Amino acid sequence: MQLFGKCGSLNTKVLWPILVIIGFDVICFWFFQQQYPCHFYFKGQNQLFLMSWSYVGTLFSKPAWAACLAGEFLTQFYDYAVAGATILTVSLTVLFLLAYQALGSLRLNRWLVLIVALAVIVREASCHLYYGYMLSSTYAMMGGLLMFLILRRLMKCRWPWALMAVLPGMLLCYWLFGYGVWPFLLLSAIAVWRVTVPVAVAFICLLPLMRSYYNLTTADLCRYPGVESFHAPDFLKETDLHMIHSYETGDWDDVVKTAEADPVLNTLKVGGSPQRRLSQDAQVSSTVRRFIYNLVQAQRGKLPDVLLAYYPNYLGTFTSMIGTNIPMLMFMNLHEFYYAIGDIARAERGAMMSCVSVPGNRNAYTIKRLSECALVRNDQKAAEKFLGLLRQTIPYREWAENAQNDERYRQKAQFINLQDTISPSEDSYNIMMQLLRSNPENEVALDYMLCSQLLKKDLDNFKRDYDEFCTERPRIRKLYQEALCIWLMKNEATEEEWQKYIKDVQVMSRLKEYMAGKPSPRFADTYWFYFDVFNLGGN
Amino acid sequence: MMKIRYIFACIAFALLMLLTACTPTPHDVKQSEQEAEIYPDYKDVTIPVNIAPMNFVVRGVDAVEVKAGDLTVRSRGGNVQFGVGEWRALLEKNETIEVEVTALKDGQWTAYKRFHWYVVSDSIDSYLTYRLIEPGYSVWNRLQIKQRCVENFNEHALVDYNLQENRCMNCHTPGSQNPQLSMLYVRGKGGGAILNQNGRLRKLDIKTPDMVATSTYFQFAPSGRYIVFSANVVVPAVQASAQKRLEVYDTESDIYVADLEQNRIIRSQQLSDPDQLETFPAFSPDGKYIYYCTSPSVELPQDYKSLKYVLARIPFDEAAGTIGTQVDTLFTGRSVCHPRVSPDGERILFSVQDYGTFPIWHKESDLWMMDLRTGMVDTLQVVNSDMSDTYHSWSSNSRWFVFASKRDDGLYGKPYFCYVDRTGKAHKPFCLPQQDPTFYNDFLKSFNAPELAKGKIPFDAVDVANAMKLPAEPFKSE
Repeated sequence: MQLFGKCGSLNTKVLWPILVIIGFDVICFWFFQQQYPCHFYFKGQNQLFLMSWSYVGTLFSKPAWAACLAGEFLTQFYDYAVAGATILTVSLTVLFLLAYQALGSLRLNRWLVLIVALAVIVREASCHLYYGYMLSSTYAMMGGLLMFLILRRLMKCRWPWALMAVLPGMLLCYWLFGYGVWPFLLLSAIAVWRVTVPVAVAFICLLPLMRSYYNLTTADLCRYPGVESFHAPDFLKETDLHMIHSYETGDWDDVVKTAEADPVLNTLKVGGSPQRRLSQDAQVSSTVRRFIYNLVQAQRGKLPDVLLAYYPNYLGTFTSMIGTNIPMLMFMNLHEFYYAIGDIARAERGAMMSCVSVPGNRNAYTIKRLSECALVRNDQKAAEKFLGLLRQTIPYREWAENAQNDERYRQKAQFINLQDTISPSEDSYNIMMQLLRSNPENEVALDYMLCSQLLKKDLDNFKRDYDEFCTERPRIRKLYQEALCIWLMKNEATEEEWQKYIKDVQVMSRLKEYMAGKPSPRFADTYWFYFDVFNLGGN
Repeated sequence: MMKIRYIFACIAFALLMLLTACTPTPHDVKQSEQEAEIYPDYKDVTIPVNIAPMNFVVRGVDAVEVKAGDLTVRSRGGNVQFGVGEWRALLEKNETIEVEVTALKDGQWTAYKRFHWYVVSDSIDSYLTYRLIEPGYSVWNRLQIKQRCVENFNEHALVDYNLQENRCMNCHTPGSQNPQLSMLYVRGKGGGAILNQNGRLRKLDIKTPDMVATSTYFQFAPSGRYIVFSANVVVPAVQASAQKRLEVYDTESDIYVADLEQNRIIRSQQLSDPDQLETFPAFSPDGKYIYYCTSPSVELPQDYKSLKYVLARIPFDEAAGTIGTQVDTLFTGRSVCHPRVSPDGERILFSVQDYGTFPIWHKESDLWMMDLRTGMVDTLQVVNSDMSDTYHSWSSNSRWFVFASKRDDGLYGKPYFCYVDRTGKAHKPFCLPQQDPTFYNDFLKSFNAPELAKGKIPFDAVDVANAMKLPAEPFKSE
């Protein structure tokens, strides 16, 4: 088809599809790049595509190997900025063109063809709003349409030729593109129903026999590599993923900036009482965001300064990896907490658990974390195993080449747990105590431990541990000073004790003001206000 | 038509030329006394006549030529892969195969020090079953139990997560290496023990209300009528030390015998002593003894390092279905796990560690072998590594055993085969060959609980999925 007709006028048969797809592309690229980029990073991490024949060979164990190969190969580039939106937009454009051509070849009304082709890509785009939807599924559908277009001319011939097109085409289509066989059969049925319908019925009847070959249920055989229903944008998850991505890439200023501008977290700001109740999903998101925000602040030595920023706050120190129904993103990121405080055994365990919680049990980011854990513990054999994998990827290759020489892992090794004991539970207090006994300079673990006690209003243990770890290395923080004031008052401490502990003059003068009247929201930034006003719970 | 044929012929010729042109041949070869860096380590190993091609990779080279006997393999890159047919002929013709590796690196061909493969006519059982699982970190996902023919590279799933609603599943164990008799567990709601008797699958509920837990470790009696099993309350705990990983211990464990004909549980006071932990039971090949490990109960978790299991045995009467009372302690040196008697009854293989009951996370865990006729213990130095070596099982001719070793990276267990000659001497073990020798580099699962069987297990993952829909046969306590 030509864009211009014989008289030089615009050919509307071509013009409209072009205008539609250009319009769609602009909206699609803008939306996914500007509003939804972090879902791509997440999807890119949740696989480990290796540039090796050994890995490619594993794809043959299931149907749709060609769709999976194309989809997974391209998904690895989601790690790069702009790549995700570009790949998706181009893929959906190709899908549109294939659908438009395939439907057009059936001599249907061109407006109907245009509307259906547009509906196909809009539906497909909506599926990509879901963090678990894979690009392979889009390629499976594209493969089905492509197969139809290739065999279309043969289908127009007499029935033996049509049968020779539909039967092997169907089998090939299933082998290469999995559920892409259904659009292929649908279009073929419209084109030559006398041939296609019996073939399709036979295929549907025989499909369950492939359960043994592919080790899939009949339902999974029908929808491999995966189909989804319509999804609406999940902006809550997008912000969660944005904070996680910024944390992982070291853009910690962005984590803080995002948290400070976040309406969900601002709802939890301590300015008196929470302004409005959060929905269930928003509560889950706020948990993830507080966790990441505190993780950043702890490693900047500012955890005591921000502990009272939100009520209730969430540190992750009371969260068990097992046996509790914790949010998926928390589960996947608990290893960050253990890695930050220096508990390498648990960081490795958390990363391993996170790795097995994604499709195919292969998560590139957690493989990186497993390499880091091995490097910190100077376990060269294990490090080589994981680095060897990452060297076969495109996004992580450079990192893997240089990781062995990274001085940060040797520095991190100074903070690891040296105690030879076990913990049957996820008792973070014990873990942090062991880390501090191994290295009293581990300020991240110290702040997490002291802040956890303060959140629980466990002042006696706070004071005991403060004495143990902050006497030789004073850690004068407003929060700790305020907490100590309460302990000193409760225990009717002597003037000498007050002088020994309370070094911040401003704390003393504010305490006098606070004591003079009722707890007022203007003291919402103080531990006294937290201690007197807020009920425990939520952490 | 002629034109198309002509085009095809040209393409085929071009491909042939391309292939031959791409595989360089050695020239100006420099001799070296160094050993080639090959993986897996197949240097100077003893192999059975029926093993699959010992494909390996020469690391860090651009091209390689390998001469093994009269076979020559050349490849660009370091992968060395033999054809199954020519490999079979090679093993049948030779008892000792000299292997010469010549590799191209930085433009220079180097012939490395030769090594040997010693071929023995004692075949290994042809099928190996194993569970594929991520290193034991309490949470599992997408498990499979597979069987692999060790004579070639064929692998099939016996149980697959896709067909089991992603349930947990435990080791598949054959009785006396007989593929027609085996059992495995599928855990979770609606789970049970799946018993294979000549390809017919039964679903059993072996746990009775008075047991401390469900069945964990089990072995068949030689008649196939009984299984002996331990019911363990298993607790995983994380090691604090960065140099260690997990510690798994039992807070309670007892041993029972299940009669698979009459669906009844046979118990003994000695094997369910509340002051003792009894675990890892196994029948002797004549069915007259139950070998097991036992340790006094200690305060847990604080005294976990005091858990030291001894190797013991107690008589069993297969005809009467009764357990005796006389307990013999056979070995007390270190904490013993997984005792397995060779099918000829001459030797018992077990793993030892400093303390505890979960050797896969103990680096110091080694395999030791006791001669049951003399009581002498061989520490199998040629077999063991500086990482965990455990989870072993015998071949039916008692000349081979397979075990899971983490020697490569400390995390992922791989099956290793070891030859025990007629004098009882163990030879250097070798890793299960794979078609693609780089397979293990990219693989992220452990080969867990490898077991040998004389033939192909006669069911597949769909059969197990169907068996799971059956009601579980209950067992009653005696």
